[in-house]
Amino acid sequence: MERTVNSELLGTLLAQSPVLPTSDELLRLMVQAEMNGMMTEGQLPADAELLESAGWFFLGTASSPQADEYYGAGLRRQAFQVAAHLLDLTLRTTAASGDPLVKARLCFAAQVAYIRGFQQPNAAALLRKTYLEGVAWPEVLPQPPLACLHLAMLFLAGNHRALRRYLRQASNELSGLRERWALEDLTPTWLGAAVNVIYGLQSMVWFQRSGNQTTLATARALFQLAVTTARGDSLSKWVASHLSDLSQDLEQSSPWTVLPPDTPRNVIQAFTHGSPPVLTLWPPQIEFLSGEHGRLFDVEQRRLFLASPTSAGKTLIAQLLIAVHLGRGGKGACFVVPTRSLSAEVSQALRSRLGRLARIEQSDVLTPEQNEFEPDEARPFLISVLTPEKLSYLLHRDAQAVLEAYDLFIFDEAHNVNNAGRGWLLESMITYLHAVTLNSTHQIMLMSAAVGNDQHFVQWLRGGSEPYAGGTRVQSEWRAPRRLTTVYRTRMGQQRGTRPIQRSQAHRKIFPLEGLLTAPLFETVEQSLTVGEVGELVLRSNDNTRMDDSTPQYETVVPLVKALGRLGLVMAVIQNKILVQNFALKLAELYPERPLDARLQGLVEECRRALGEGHPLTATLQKGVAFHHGEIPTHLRLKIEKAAAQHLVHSIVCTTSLTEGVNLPVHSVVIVQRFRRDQNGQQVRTLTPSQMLNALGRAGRAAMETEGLLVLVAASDEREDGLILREASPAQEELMINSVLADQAALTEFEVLEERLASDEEALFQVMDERASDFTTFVWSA
Amino acid sequence: MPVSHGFTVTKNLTGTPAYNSWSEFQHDSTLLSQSDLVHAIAEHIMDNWFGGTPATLKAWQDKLSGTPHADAAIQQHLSDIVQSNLRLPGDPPILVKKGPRKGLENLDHLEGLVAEHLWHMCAAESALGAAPRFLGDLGFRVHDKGPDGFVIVDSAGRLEYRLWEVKKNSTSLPATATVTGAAQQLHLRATDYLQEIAQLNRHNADPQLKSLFQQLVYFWGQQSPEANAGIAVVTTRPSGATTPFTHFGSTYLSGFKGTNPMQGLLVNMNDLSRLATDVRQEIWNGL
Repeated sequence: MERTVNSELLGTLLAQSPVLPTSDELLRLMVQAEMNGMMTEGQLPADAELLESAGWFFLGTASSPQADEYYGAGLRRQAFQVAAHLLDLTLRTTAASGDPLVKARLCFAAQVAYIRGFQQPNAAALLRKTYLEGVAWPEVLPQPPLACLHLAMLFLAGNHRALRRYLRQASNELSGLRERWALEDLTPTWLGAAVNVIYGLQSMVWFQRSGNQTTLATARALFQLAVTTARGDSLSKWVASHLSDLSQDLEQSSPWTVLPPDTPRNVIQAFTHGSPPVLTLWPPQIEFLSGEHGRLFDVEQRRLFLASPTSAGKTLIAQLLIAVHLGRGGKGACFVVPTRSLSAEVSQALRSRLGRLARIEQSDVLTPEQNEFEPDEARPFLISVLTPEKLSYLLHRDAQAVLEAYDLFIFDEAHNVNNAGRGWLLESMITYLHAVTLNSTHQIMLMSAAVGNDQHFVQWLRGGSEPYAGGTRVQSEWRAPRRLTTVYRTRMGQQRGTRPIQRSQAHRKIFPLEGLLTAPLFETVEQSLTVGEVGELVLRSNDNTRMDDSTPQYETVVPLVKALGRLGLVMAVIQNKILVQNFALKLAELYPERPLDARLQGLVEECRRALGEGHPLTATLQKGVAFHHGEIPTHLRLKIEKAAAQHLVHSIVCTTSLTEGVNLPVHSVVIVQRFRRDQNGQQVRTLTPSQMLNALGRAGRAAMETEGLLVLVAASDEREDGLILREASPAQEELMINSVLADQAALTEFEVLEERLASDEEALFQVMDERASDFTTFVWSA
Repeated sequence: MPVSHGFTVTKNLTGTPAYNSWSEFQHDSTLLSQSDLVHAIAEHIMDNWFGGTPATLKAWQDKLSGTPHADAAIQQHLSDIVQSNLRLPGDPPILVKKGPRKGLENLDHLEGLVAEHLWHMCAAESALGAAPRFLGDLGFRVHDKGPDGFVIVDSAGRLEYRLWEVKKNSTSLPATATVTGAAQQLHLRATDYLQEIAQLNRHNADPQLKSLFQQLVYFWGQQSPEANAGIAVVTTRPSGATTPFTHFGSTYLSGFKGTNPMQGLLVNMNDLSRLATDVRQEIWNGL
């Protein structure tokens, strides 16, 4: 579900309350708050206190043990989601940020609501967004509830590094106070509730890291003690009560609970002690790994298709699968990803978690390498993260060695089998591996967020005798960050002047262009948001022909990207490399000179050395604007991605080079050019539906943002927002992924080849069209 | 002697519309001297802060009676907590930055603390109506925002609750504006206050109370008969008669359906600021 709310849902939840705003009124307030949050300095409308009031109402009613009676389980979850949304909006007011205690209380409450609304990653994202400079440590004695809230917020965000540091400081302070006051136990003192929250959190952290049930029981007892027996402030007690409730959810979502009981401890610890640690699993992960779908770990389950939206944690599932495979004595895992950027990211994540248990190799270089499969006695399990080209190379070199080195193959972004350039390579490899491992224990898993016909993939992998008939698919629609989708267009203002045209009776008529986000963010509230003047339209006076000195369409989007930059990282997607650079340069012009972070300065220097002094990238980076396309050297692209991940840049302009899989903290994705001209001059979509879905999936990354904004830029002749918006949620049939050998062009190529073969058998060895050649090579090799 | 016995009820009225009622209490020093009132409030505050460590509380009481502290750790404990809330005598005060009191010590939080304790003592002594079946805890910290007062009473076999907003008015201005502001605050903050109270008490051992706590927020949202509101203003007695609660029933809080859905309380003190600083001095005297 992309939206937290709609009028009907709100109406049901509000139950015609005479005290709270009506559902329409609440929606209107939410839209205003969302929109004001986008384009202004975070000021909410004057009556925004009603949002907060409603937020607390939903938190209160949904938290009640009787909530199932008011709402039922499903609606209760949505009540938590609405509460979280409302409190999250409230947090953005300047008023809320003025008082540290008010801010922390709102943040904690929204985190609780997110977690209980099954949107766990938003708890981490909210903390990140609310405390951009990190959470400060207040001593316990002067402000016990603030200390509790800060620790609890870090805990709910899974930020164990800061949490453990602060817990040590708190523990030292409390030891000092016990000594100073000559008391063995601080529970009966003014600090009693806070003290028990702090010690309870220490125990919870220990449980999450070690799976020790005794420490979990201790934590619960301490939280209960804080609520019921201890003296102290009511806010600390309130925190304790929520933590006590959440301890159930956190236990159920712990890797110690979810992973199969035969998983070795050191394998689970690799995740709970990794960086960042994996302390709780998200709902689709739990769904996939336990319960009905627990068969992901079934050794008999040798073919799998995993379908879930971007940002739902597929990569972690793959990692867990690899880890359990490792724990069960598997030989090795081969993780195939489509791009070098993704390869670097995945291998980095695997190293941080499984680096001590397995040898992890990342390779995309197509040259012979020594000792690729040489055993390592200390770490016999081999994990390789490869591009399809690299795996293909290895298979062609020594297929047997590949099959001996790996008994688990995972193919990420499997929808790429319909990629015009590389699809056949991927398809042929999967087909080959499937065929040659029919009678062995090798496992193959395909993953994608953008396949409308995943059942076809399953059938494809069932193409054999038993046990492959048991091949299966697991699917989830879950996604934590909310997604707002809107259309951007320009509107012509009143004529503001004329300019002469040389040697012509006619003249230029000048009109300002105003940028507008026009599509409704919520279905029942029609409201557009003005970006301001974004260019000018110049028409010839005699026939109203658009003249060349009008602002180019792509340039009218530049001010929008600048405005969105204050919400978080913006990714502007443009097909053409030249336009990518031009767009970035125009965007950079809007930013003033600023002192550079040393890390960004280092990147600028590196670009200067690699690309030359005058390269546009060195200029734009200095203004916090990066760009990324296929002609930027790979090592620089990786560093640009790292700079974006570290928030060193506020915007990144790219082709589709950056829209597949890479996990960047993007808040807004702007699809600047939705159409291009093909070789025949026909207007075609720049992105296929799958590519569009993947690009849009970058907006609002889980655990980094609580919401993402998708902006589709309308062409000047497009009037219907509804038609444009449909591109953001393509129908299943639009996401049908077919073999590239099945399209008309390929069939024509084969027809030509067959005709030639009929007259000349040697034609097989002569120059052929690309796909015919690929297919012939595959058959020949197989 | 119960503190509420030191007050006379000077007004007991029904407002407009009729479903609101309000009372006016006037401190009568012939019934309860100013110093006894000061001591009672100071002791109430100290009991709230140190009731869990009786030896510490007793040491403070003993010091007031002239017995010096024998235990440095206890004295330290007292000083640390009092400093955290009220400052110690030698600490620099926070000053008012503007207005007629500019440059003088800002007593807002201190006066608020005294007002809340006075209300709590009256409520516990059943001076505000029926004997409470449940009386919410006082806030522990002077500066925290949160519910000021919460009472559950038995009303003809049904449990009803009243959420109170307790305000202080130490100016000579009429309390009408204070009441209107308090009503608006309660209207906007009630769901927050109630969710906090409900969260802390929803596993109450008394099944009847437990059931009410679990529906606290819902009842407010529906303006059910179980939900009621109250506003108390502790004030320095203004000149002339005032009727701050006359239009209480037409404020943001109108529409509740109980038998007495809105209750007002005006507590007149001769000098609230003086009372507050005297209470603090009494606390300091026992350190």
